[in-house]
Amino acid sequence: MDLAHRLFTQKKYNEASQQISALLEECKGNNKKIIKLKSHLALCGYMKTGCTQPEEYLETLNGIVNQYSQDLKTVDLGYVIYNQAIINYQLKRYQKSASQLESLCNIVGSLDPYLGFESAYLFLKLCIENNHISQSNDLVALIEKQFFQSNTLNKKQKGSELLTGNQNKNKQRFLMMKIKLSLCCSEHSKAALFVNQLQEIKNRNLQQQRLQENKQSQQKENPRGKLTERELFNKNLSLNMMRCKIEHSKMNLEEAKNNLWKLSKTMENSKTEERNNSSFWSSFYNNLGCVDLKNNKPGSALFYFKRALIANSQICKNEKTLNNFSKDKRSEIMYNTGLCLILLEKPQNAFQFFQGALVCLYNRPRVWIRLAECCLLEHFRLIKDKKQKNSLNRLVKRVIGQGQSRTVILQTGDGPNDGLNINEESVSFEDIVSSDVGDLQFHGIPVQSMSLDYASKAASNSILISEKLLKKVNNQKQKFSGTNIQNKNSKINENTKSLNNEKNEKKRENEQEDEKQKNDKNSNLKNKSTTTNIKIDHENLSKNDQTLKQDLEHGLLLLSYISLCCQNPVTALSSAKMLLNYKPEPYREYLANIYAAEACCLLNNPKLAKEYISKSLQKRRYQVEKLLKGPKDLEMMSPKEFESNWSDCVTALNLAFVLILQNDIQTASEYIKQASRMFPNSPLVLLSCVYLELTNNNIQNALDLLKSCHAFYPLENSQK
Amino acid sequence: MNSFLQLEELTKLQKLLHDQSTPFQNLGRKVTQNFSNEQHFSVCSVLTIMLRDDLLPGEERIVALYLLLHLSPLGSELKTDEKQKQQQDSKNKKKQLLSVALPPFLPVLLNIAQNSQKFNETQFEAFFVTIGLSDPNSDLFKQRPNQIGVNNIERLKKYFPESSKIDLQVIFTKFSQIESEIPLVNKMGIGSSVPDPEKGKESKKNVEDLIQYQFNTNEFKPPFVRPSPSILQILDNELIWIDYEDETLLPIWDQSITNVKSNNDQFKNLLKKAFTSQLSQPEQQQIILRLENEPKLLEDSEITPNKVKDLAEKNPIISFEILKRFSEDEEKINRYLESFIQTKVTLHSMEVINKLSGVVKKLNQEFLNRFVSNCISSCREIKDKYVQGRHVRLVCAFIRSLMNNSQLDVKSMYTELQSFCVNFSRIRDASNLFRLIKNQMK
Repeated sequence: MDLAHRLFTQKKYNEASQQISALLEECKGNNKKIIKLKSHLALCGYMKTGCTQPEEYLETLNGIVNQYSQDLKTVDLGYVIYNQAIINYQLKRYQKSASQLESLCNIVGSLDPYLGFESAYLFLKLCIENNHISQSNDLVALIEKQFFQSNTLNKKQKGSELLTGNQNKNKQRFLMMKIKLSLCCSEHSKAALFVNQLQEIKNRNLQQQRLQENKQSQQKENPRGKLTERELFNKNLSLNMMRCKIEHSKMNLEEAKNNLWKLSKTMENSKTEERNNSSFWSSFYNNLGCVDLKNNKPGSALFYFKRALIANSQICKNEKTLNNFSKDKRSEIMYNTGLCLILLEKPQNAFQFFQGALVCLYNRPRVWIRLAECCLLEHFRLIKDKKQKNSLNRLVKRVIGQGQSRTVILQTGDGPNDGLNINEESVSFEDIVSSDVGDLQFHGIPVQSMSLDYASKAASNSILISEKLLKKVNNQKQKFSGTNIQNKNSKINENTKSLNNEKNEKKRENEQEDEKQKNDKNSNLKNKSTTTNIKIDHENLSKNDQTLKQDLEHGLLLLSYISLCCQNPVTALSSAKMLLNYKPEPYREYLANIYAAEACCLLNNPKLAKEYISKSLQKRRYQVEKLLKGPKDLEMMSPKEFESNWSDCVTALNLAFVLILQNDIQTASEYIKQASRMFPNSPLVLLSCVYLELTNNNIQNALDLLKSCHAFYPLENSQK
Repeated sequence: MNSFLQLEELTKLQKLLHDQSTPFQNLGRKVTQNFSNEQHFSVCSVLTIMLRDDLLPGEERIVALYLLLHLSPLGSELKTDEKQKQQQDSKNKKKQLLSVALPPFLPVLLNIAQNSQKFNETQFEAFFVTIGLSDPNSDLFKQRPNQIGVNNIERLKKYFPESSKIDLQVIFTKFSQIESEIPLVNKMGIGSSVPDPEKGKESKKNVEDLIQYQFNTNEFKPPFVRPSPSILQILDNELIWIDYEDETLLPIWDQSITNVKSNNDQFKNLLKKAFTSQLSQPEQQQIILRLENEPKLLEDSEITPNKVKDLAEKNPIISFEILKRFSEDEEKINRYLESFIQTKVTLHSMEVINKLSGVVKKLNQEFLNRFVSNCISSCREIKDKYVQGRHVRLVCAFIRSLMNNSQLDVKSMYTELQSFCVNFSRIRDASNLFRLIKNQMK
């Protein structure tokens, strides 16, 4: 067996295979040995192909596990399971890989220490990459306890002795992971501490290297000199790698601290180190792009991301090995590029890049949210274009006839709120690529067209994923079950059912309205109890989990809005209600109340609509947060606007709308007057005023109003 | 299907509306000849818009109403004979009729007809529509439009049927039922055309204007403002930072097969190592886990009582784990404990016995007495006062722990314990222990 191993390490895979085959024939009946030999045979075969056929290798390993899992324990299948996990990891099947590694980590104490450390280390890496912070912390504690914590007696004896061999290398790898984790949790001081520790180890290694160099000069005439040289070369290489890692750790640290100037300098230094490494260059340009984007320079960031994508495409071009595949960070770079394009107000291009990012980042709710946002932005752009084309931004649609029979046709239907199918006008991905990032190739990316329907699906996906992740966090942290977040679909369906029932009841008997409201109140009470539980959970949420909560809330808000655009008030109301149950921040609560109110109006329940609008009135104060600038003329409300009088004006107009529905024209007119005092020139306010005059048969007043606002009255143009 | 009429078709329709000299019934026939069945909906739409937005002069409105009546015939289910009416139970009939679908443009006509319910009101159009709905074959429609004249209600009255051939009441009930089902939002719209006559100018309206009109199917409603959510802020940690990784993750060779022949061998080797040197914590953990999973491993491991004693010095935790597993067999455990008496008492041996006393129900009393005696005498043998004091404190803690675990019979050792406490009364722990012993003796 030793011989086979030696042949394997010398990359003589054919000979090693022959050796193992011979051993396999000898040990019939010993299952444990057979498993190991078979897995070695498969490994030799896999290495022989230059790691190009991972699926075949994985299939063999699966076969071994399936055949022997009933007779043997997980401990005996440890290496096979680990190899399965590593292939799945490189194939970016993270969930599968995680479940396999988790099973190994559960029995880490009884595993071979080498295997135990590698399993725990890979699992930790996986968890950090997927932002599973609490699980990562647990794993760090486990690794520390199992592999780096000597008992009191050992400490006394060893004192400050250096760690040796594998342990030293593992310690460095583990420290790198700890730095990454600390940065993920925004614990900068902790990260700095680990960087110092890493630096110390590096310095010690340097001292050792110098000692060895002295020895080497003494042994120059020794026939074994050549071997020592090679050993030293390896050591140098590993030290270089180590230095590079340390530089990168520093970079992470600086990035997290937003010290952009220092960061770019550090990057310039590391640039000289590895000149022909595509993987390095792709990460370098991507990170440089991140720096520029943080520095509010999206144009230059896009340039770097483009270069990062080109460097990344080289990785796959070189050799199609599994290791290169795992180094391919196209999805991550594409996601960053998408963010950059959103800032550059190019939602169509951004959409395509986010779609590309989905290949690996499909389980991140934020990607789905960005996709939905791109569709919405594009939707707004098309409405704006259409308005400009048809002069639809005016209150008057057209003027027909002349003289005594001249008639003014008012703007109807295609208002700012109305949905529009953007499929017809969407531009193909090829056009975008050729126009903007022409030298990049994106083969094999499924191109979906942008539409409100897709936006609604994307929003639903973000809700499902963030709910699932939050549920996992809750279960892990508080062992909290039963009353926490339920499956979104089932809940929406339940709400839909109840809404349909409400609708039917309304049709049958108006008298039952009061009872229904009681029911609503009861259901609200039930919801409240759920919400309190969730709230308790959220108090203990980490920064990362807070982001998840934000994703969930924003997803629900988007779904509610998009559903209204798609004229689906039932889904709009159910998602708005669900969002309100989560006690969102005031800005979202305000919007959710408005959406719920509109949905209620469409579902013929103005009474409930009025309740929602009055709730929105109460939620006005909001702490202003930095936001991207949205196209204001398209009714996109930013938190800043929410805090301004505009939200009051919106509430007044909507309240007037509901009152008109309830036939209370007099009170409605008071609200409209209130709105017109705040924003006299707003087209929405003017439309409401004109409507009021026309319902009161004051045609002349309505005309005067239209004429008073000259910009909205295209009389002269039409006459021409 | 194109729901709008082309310029040519609109001209045809306008001609029909202008024609005042052809009887109504002939106009109806002409409209069915000039327009295909598929176009009827578009014709009705255009007529409805014209009526709603008041685009036609009075005489043309009447023709438009007739054409609408002609193109929206009521189903035969709604028509009733006088005899049938008497025979059938009126309630059942009404129920049956309520389930019948109404033509799509009938509500427009019914809205106009509703005004004729009170006879004292002189509403010409309402009368005209009511006659049309009640008796589509009325003699009125054999007349020419210019024969009737506009707003001449007296002339219409003679055509008003004494008994309607169609139960209008049923239709009105159905109409109100349908109307109640229409959402309030859909009902709040008003006509979007506002007459804005220019003074001193002649009226000019042509077919081109009509084309523009027919696109104006939507109604004017006040806006419900729906602000869209803003884009989610790009957070600092949202940008994906890529760490350069030189580490190549490859499947690993199962080295356990080359280093140690089997897991059992591995265990034996580790145990062998434990007799001579201290194990690292992972190694200790590995042994403990193996012992937990496979207690039978101890049977083949050739552990002698003396080896256990040695083990206690190097790896007390493992020694304790092994003794714990032997404790089920009283004879065996006594044999192994004997080795602890034969050698010098150490901190580690005390630690092992102390831990054992917490796990085993009742340790051999004779062994305990001898071991405690050894502990006491070991204190006396130490000459260095500092080391002696430390050792006495440890022995006191050990004895107290045994007493707490109800393992030690104080009575049988009272004299020895008393002299120990008196001898070392300068140490606070010893005097405390003495107090405890005395209390227990009481």
